[in-house]
Amino acid sequence: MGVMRRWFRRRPTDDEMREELEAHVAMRAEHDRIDEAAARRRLGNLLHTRESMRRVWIAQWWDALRQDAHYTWRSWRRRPAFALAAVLVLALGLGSSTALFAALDRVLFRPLPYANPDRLVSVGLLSGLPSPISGQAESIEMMLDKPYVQLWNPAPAPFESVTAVGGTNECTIGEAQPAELRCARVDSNFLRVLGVTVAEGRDFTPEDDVRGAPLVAVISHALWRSRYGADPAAVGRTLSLDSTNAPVERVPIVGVLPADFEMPIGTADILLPMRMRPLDMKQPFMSILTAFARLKRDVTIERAGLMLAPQLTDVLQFMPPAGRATWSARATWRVRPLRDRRVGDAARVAWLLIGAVVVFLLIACVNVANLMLARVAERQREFAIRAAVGAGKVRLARLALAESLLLALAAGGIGLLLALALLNTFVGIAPSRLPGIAQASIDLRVFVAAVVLIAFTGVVIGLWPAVSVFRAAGWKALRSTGTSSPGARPRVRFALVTTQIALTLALLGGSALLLRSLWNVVAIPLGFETGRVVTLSVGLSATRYPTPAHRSAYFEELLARATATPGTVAAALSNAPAPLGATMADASSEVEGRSLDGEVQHAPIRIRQVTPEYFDTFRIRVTSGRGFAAADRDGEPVAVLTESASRILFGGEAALGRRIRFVTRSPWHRVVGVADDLRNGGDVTADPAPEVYLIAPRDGWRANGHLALRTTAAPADAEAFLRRIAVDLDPLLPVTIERLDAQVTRLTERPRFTAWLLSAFGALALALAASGLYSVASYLVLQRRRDIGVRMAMGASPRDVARQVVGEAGRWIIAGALLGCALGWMATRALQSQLYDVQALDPRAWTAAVVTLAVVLFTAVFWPARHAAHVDPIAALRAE
Amino acid sequence: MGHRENPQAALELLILKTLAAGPNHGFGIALHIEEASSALLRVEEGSLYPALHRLDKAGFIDAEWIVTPNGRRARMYRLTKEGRKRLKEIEESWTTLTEGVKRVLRWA
Repeated sequence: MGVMRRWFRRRPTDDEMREELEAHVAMRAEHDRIDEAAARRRLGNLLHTRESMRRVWIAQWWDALRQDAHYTWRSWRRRPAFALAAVLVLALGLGSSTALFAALDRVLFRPLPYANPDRLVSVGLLSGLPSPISGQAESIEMMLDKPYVQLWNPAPAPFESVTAVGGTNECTIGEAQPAELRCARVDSNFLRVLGVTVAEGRDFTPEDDVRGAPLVAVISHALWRSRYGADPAAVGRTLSLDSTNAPVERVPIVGVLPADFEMPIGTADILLPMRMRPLDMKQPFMSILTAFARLKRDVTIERAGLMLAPQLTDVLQFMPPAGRATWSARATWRVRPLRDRRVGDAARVAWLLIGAVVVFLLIACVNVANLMLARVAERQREFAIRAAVGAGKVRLARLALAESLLLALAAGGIGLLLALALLNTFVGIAPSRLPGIAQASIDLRVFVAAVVLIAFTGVVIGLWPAVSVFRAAGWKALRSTGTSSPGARPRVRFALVTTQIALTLALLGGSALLLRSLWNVVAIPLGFETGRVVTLSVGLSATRYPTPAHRSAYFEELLARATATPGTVAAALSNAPAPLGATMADASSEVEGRSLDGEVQHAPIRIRQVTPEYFDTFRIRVTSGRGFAAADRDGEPVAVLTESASRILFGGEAALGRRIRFVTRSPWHRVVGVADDLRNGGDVTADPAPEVYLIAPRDGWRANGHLALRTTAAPADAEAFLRRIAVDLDPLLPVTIERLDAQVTRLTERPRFTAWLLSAFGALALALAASGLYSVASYLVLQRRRDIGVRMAMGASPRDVARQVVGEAGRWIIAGALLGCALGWMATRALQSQLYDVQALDPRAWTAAVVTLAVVLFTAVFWPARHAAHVDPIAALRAE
Repeated sequence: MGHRENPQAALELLILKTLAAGPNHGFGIALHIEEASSALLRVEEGSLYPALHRLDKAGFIDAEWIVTPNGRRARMYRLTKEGRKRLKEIEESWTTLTEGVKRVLRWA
């Protein structure tokens, strides 16, 4: 039957109905030759007829729902505390789920903003070698420019098309208002492969991509708006683009990206063509590209990997023999969905949080279902009377379901408002590396998800009460007397409380583990002291600082002024940022008088040029020999090794006094000291990477310099001093000034975020469990008032009575705790990857969780128990 | 819906049967039923219109405003394909019913 058509049949208006009837009257009068009044009489009561016509069109379910809503509203008004509690509890659950969904949607679910995004893959080689950054096996696939240009044009067999992004680096535009931006170099087909069309102007063409062709730019929508006021005439204007590795160029803007454009990886404000064709094959090294491809129709990801496999040897042909030898043994292709490459291990954290919030929502649902069951028990007689006067069982069950749906709806409304506020908090504290977190908002997609969630919640909390009404709405309930009616047996309610306790314990256990892990991470000694240190990073423009002399003048003046700033304890310059982040270590080490095998020679050691006060500034302990002295800058070049670097380069031999160098034919540096290892990788849980400090020559500065200042002044003042110095020296250079401890905190932002969120859910869940237990225990005491009275009349002491209540509740707490441990045992194994130096079954964490749970829940039972102890036996017995 | 409400089923049958002869407006339907039954059946006009709207909502008939030959606006009803099917169904069940009742009456 045309169900849909019937739904959408046009309902005639009241006027139409009136006119139809009037026409009838007129026709009848004419036909029977009677007057209109008589014709009207014959039709009967016009108003009544019209009312019946109208009723035909009002859907029955709507009518019934309105009625149910009316009943529900009346019953809420009689018991506002119940309605308020239920709505608030559900609003918390729904609000946090919605907010979290909005925050993590882009990580886990939302399709990427490209054409047919599920056909896009990230493709590249895994070298199988330890990463120079983390020391662990390389985990990110990469492509090399020579094979990319020579072998992948046209695209290799499994792919429709391939494209690549080269480096992304910082760049600056304009002279008057320097703005720090990110410029990405891309293959000219980049946007076409992603299926993105420019909003204004044109896309890159293959001609733009030719080596030596004039540089052109496609700018982001945001930049277009902020700098050009979204003026279409911006296309055709020129940018003067300044970066640290190229002189200023006048670059015409040829296009503007659409507003919803996102780079597949990272961010970019300006896209520039790579201009690498034809490739300079004489260049000894190969650049690393990030390659993306669009799979052919009917080719799966697994098959694409297999199809590429034979090409590995061809690719390695582009390497010099030494590299080829090390690579060919271990290198493999990796093809994986673009989303996986974008999101990386953030997906695990995201799933963990989603799991936690679902558990929390379930707890909230169970809690409210419990409240509703209590109400069903209370309203038993009301239901019985209704059944007696003719309301069908189905009708009554539906009433209960309607009540729960209305609860969910009210809670959903408040929950959405809550979600707006919560989302801001989440985004505020979320790790900045969580992809798409900044764009997270409550949009239509999230709203629809919230509505589905609300409906689901309504059904979940209503199902049990509806069934229990259905069963209870018999004649029996009417016959039984008052409070001692067995009613909806408390067994179900206890089962619900037990479930709630179990889920809560699982959450508490999880958060205890994360907190312990976080504690361990924060307590890891970094090898340097972060308090009271402020850093300044600057990249000199290649145009205005063309020679080493220019650059030295700037940096030496910067260091001198910083040192002279009031409150300065020590200040140092380095050519690499503070030891907290990934730095490429690409050394070719040589030790005088000792031949190193290839593995040692190319061991990933970070080389850092520093000025003498570096160790004082960071408070890095020099364990043997000495640190640098001011005189070292002008004397023989000297070096300090970290202990791990010393072990790698010298084996067990003494390093002091020996000479080393890291660039062929560069001057030798004499080792004067050995210093403590640092947690310098950016991941504080990773092992320290070996590092070598070379004394900075006076004229050796490249474009980037990093100043660090240890001060006795308040950090905010120190930051202000540094900013003034930088502006005095060159107001056009963008500088980044930051406190070192803030940078360290940022390293642990992800574990902080997950631990914080899970603990918040755990605490709320605990509060809900406590309130649930309290309400059930109170109900139990109320129900057994008579029994208690009898027992007390027979000589039981208040203590005995209280003990009985506590004992009964205790059984359920223990059952819940056991179930929770089992649940936690299963769930936390998924947590293991997030834990540092803690086992998922860590007894201390679980003990803490169980003890917290027990203390809170027994406190919750205390009041009902006290109440039971104060029952007046005479009053209790007389009440019957 | 119609199956439960037997008193209305008769009216429904009459309306559908009338419209099977061609589109008509409410008054026309009432008139046709009276004339065709040689005034044996007289339509309760007060229930005719709700019944029409019920059939309209159920999708058995379609409604449309037209202007009658003497210039009056009227709501004209027309049988849909589903209505035709429906008519056949109730016609059959009606005949069985009346046949059954007739036999019982004869026997008694």
